[in-house]
Amino acid sequence: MLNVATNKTNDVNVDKAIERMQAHASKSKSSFAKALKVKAPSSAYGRLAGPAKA
Amino acid sequence: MNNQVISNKYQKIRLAALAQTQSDFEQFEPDFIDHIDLTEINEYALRSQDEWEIPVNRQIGWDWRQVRNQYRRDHMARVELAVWYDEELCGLMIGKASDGKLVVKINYIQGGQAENPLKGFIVPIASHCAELFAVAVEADWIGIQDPIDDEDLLNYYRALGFDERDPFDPRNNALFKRVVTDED
Repeated sequence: MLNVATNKTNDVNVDKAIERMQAHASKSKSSFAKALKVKAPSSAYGRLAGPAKA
Repeated sequence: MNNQVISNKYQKIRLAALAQTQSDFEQFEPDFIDHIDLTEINEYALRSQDEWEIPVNRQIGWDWRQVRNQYRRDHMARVELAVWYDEELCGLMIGKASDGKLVVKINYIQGGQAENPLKGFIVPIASHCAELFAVAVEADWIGIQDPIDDEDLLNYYRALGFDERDPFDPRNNALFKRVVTDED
């Protein structure tokens, strides 16, 4: 498992990575379309995640 | 392989994720074609963010320039996103893949002013961008770190698929979504 993790960290084949991404984009279009239709609350502005101001 | 070569590889992937996200968004929201632009967090984005007028209770607890510079220095496998409508900045997000590339997490995300042309779209756009990057680096999860503690927003994140605790650390204040790569 450690070797697998190390290999994932250091090595990326750009062409294959982009190919995977584009294939996923094609397959997940309906999910994204649905996500865009989910009504955001009126409070969806300003800080959305991350540390609050102290 | 030296770090600059690897860094350049992730840059290409990052830019491809931005371009794909923009293309996908325009397909479903064609009214925004020729208006929306998704970029990395450049100098113009940093200066534009400074001009946002945000109420005290929704202000951020970080400095975007400091965070962006730190991420650029320390995290090659990162996502950066600035969401523009024409010349108006509408949202910012920065996140990164975990060391083992198991998760891509959105660590900082801010929407623009209360009324902006892309209000309501920043989280799904950021989520889609993070998901595409996650698939590219073969991560199985995406996450939102420290989601704001507002019940309406938490329900919104869950409706967008972020409905699981951190599978690697259930004590972590984060919402996770499993990346499903066989859809439709």
